This record gives sequence, C-alpha cells and structure tokens, in this order.
Amino acid sequence: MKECIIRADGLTKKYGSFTALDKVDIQVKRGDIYGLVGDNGAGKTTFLKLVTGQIFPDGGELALFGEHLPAQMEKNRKRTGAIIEAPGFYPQLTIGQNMEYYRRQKGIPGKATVDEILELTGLADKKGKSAGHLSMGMKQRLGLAIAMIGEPELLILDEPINGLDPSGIIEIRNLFLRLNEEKNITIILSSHILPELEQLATVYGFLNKGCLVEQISAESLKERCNSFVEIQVDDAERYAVLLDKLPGEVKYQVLPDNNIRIYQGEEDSIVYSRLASENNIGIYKLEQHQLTLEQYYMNTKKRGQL
Amino acid sequence: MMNYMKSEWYRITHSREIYVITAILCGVTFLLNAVLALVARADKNFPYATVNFSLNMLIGSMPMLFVAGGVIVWRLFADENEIGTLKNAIAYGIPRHHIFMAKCVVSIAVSLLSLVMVAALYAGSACLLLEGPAEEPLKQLFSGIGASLLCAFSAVILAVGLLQYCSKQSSAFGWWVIIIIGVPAALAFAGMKYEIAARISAWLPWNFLRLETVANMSGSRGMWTTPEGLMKCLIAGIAGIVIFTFAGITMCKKQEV
Repeated sequence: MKECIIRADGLTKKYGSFTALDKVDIQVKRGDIYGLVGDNGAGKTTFLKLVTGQIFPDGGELALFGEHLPAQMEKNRKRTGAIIEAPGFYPQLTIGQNMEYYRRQKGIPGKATVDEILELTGLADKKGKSAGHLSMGMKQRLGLAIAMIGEPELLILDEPINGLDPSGIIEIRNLFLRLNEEKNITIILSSHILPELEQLATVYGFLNKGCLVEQISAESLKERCNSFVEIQVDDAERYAVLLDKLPGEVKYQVLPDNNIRIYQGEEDSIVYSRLASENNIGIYKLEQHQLTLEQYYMNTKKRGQL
Repeated sequence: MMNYMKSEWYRITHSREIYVITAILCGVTFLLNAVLALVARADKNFPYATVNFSLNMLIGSMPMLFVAGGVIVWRLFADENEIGTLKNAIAYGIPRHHIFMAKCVVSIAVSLLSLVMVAALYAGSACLLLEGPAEEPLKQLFSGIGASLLCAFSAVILAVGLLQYCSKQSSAFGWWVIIIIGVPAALAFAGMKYEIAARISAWLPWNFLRLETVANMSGSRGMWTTPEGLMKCLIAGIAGIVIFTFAGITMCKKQEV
C-alpha cells in the first residue's frame, strides 16, 4: 500500500464567518499527481496554503508524510517545493541570484544544482537576466525552478501553468510527468485548464464552496466518463421508443435535428446501428464519444453536485 | 535559521538597497560638513563651521539612529509580503520565529556596518573640513553612539517584527512611528500633568536621549557620560530588545500569510 503523503481529515478553515474549507477529507499518496478541480473560491488555494503552513486550520487534522504535529510538519515541509498563488522571488536580483538565494536558504550543497534545475526548466540561458523584467511565463518557470531546488519529494503547485505559452505548457507538462515517473515525485496541483490537468493527473479532487464533492482516480473517472454514441436518424421519436424497449435501462438524451445521445453501458455501438436498420430507420451519422474531464466537470455541475 | 541568515546576507549584499541607503547617508553627512566649510570660506565671521557644531547635531539627536535603522529595515524587507518570498520560506518549513530572529540578526549586522561607514565619514569629514577642537566632540559622539546602540537595535527589531506581521507596509510604518515616537511624545506631554506618565516617559529612549542631553555651541554633555545615564541607556535598550523580540516571536508565530 502506498504511503499517504498528505492526509486531511475533516480539515476546516474559516475567514471570519466565511467557511473557505469545510470538513475536507483528502488523501494524496506517494507517486500521485493529484489534480484539484473547482471554480474560483472553491477552496483549492486555501487547501494548498494549509498544506504549506501559510495559514492555520480551524478544525480537523492535516498530516504531511504521516506527521500531524506542527513541529514535525514544519520539518517535513523541507521535503516539499511549492508555488502558491504567484511565484515568489526578488525582482531586483537576477534569475541566477534568486536561485542561489534559495539554494542557500534550503541549505543545498553544490552550486551545480542551480544550473541543473535552470536547464530543466528552460532558464539556463537567462541566468543573468533580472527577475524583475521577466514575462509571466518566465516568472512561472522561475517559480517552478525555485520549488524544485533540493529535489523535493512533494511538489505543491497552485496554477503552475498560468501564463505559459503553448510550447511552455507542453514542456512543463512533460517535466512534471518525467519527475513523477523517473523520480517518483508526488505532485498536487490546481489548475483551471482542465484539458491540461487531464493529461497529468492520476487522481482528482473536486471542490465546491469549500467542500470536497468527489475524490476519484483517473482510471475510475475514465470508467465513469462513460463513452456515448451520438446517432442521427431520420425519425428520432420512433428510435427513442425502440431504445426504451431494449433490455436493461438505456440512458439517452434526444437532441435537436433528430440526434440522440446514448450513454453506453456495456453495449457495443453496433447494437444501436442494428436497432435502427432492423426497424427501417435511416442513419445519417453514428459517432462514438468519450467525455472529457471538462465535460464531466460541467455535467457534474449541471447535475448540481458542484 | 543559519541557512536563512546566510541567504538573507547573500541577497542584501547582492542588492543595491543597502549600498544606496549608505551612500545617501554618507552623502548627506559629507554635504553638511562641506556646506559649513564653504560658507565659512565665504564669510570669515561664520561661527558654525566647527567640528563641535557639526557633531552636536547628531549628539543632540541620537534617536536619529533609530530612524536610520528603521529606514534600513524598511528598504530591506518592506515588500516581502507582496512579492511572496516570505511565503516561500514558510512553505519550505522554516519556522516563522526563526525567520524573524534571522532577519533581526542580519538587519542589526547590516545597519551596524552602514553606521560604521556613515559615522566614520561624518566624523572624518568634520575633522578635515571644519575648525576647532575635535577630541571632545568625537568622544561625545562615539560614546553616545555606543550608548544608544542597544536602543537602536530594539527599534530595528520592532521594525522587523512589524513588517513581518503586518500585511500592509503602511500599517507597519504607522505602528513603528506610534511606538517609537508617538507614545514617548504623548507620555512626555502627559507627564507635565501626571507624575506616573512623567516617570514612564523618562525611561523611553526617544525622550531621554534628546531631552537629557545638552548640545549647543559651547559644547555638549551627553546623558550617557554619567554612570546613571549610561545605565539608563543600557537598561532601556536591553528592555526594548527583550520586549520587542518576545512580542515579535509571539506575533509572528500566529501570523498567516
């Protein structure tokens, strides 16, 4: 069984009368890439701030690497790297000087470490550039580079791909995957860019108004994102009646222009084409679809779970 | 804590701020002496171009060291909350009170180095450019700086604590001014009527360093030149350091960023 790196039990955080996080239970296991999903104000950053010790909980328990006592957690935070809200660095120093500052702060021996990380994050040729004059994407890369000093076992990243250009997003995504696969670094990250999160996360946590609505592995989510068949026939009404007569409950939705969306259970799509042809219903189109994370999220929202 | 101190030292020595502040202070003090000397050249009867007059300006207002220390801390740490570097240190598991203590040590060390340079240039340029005996005013000046150092350190510690605790720079600045200048001034005023206020007021460095020191054209006599006065400086300084350090640690431990 994999070690639990972060364990939150009934974690609660209030700001005055506003409950930012309400009895949240989250488990992040070693090797996970945990994606936190939720709208603005859902509690993602609050949770990450609690994990990084920037704010204190009002209830519940939080354990980091199995330790929940504040002093032990502080020690264990030395095994982490983080970007929360915006990357923190000194604008009056160069990229190289900022890295050197944090290398000293973290007590990491050997100056070569800095060059290695700058190479990894694509900043090697900008080492002498003033950090105050960086583009948004470059700032994000510098934040990542700082978080990665000292080979952390856990990376805590709040919107890490914000401001990155498309090629930057791909590079950073591949970097995360490589760090996760090769060095078994656990990553917890929040992002509004769900298609991007979908390509990274192995576990998802859906937050809404401070509550954890669902925690689900990427595999289970894939299963749950039942693929569906969208079929366009010449008589959707009659086809719907036929669907109702099929054994078992077939979930479907009649769409405009004689389109019907059939949420597949175990059935193969051939069953639906045969059903039409055997009953002399013409088929104009038959497409097989898979729900994306974005669609799943939106559907869950529509159902009122989020 | 040592690593944090090392990193801060690295940052400060690789940034322009401390060099700029020190250069400005050196420039102002040198300019002051240079102006006095120039005026004396133009007007042979100008009575103020003396080492005594120049150095008395600081001897009579030693609390300026508090302000200089506060300005240095301000320039070094004021934007930490805004640029997110404090968050990084906390997220990395450095205890808040270690951050506070490390900043205090580094600020005091940097301020002290800056003070040595400014004081050397101030006294040196006065001796070189101005007239009159230098030995006694120099003695008064350096013994005064020595006696006021602990009080100045406590002002620096307070500035560090407030800047770390307050999310807004302006609040930190306001509180510092109130505690270091406002409260002593108010108590001195209230002391005219109430005995208890007068007693407390007499132990506040902003008051006693200015009001109990005589510095004029005929010479100066710092309150630190007497054993009682020196003891008062040291006791008030130590008390300030202890109180502000304790308050800083307590406040920073509860601070959310």
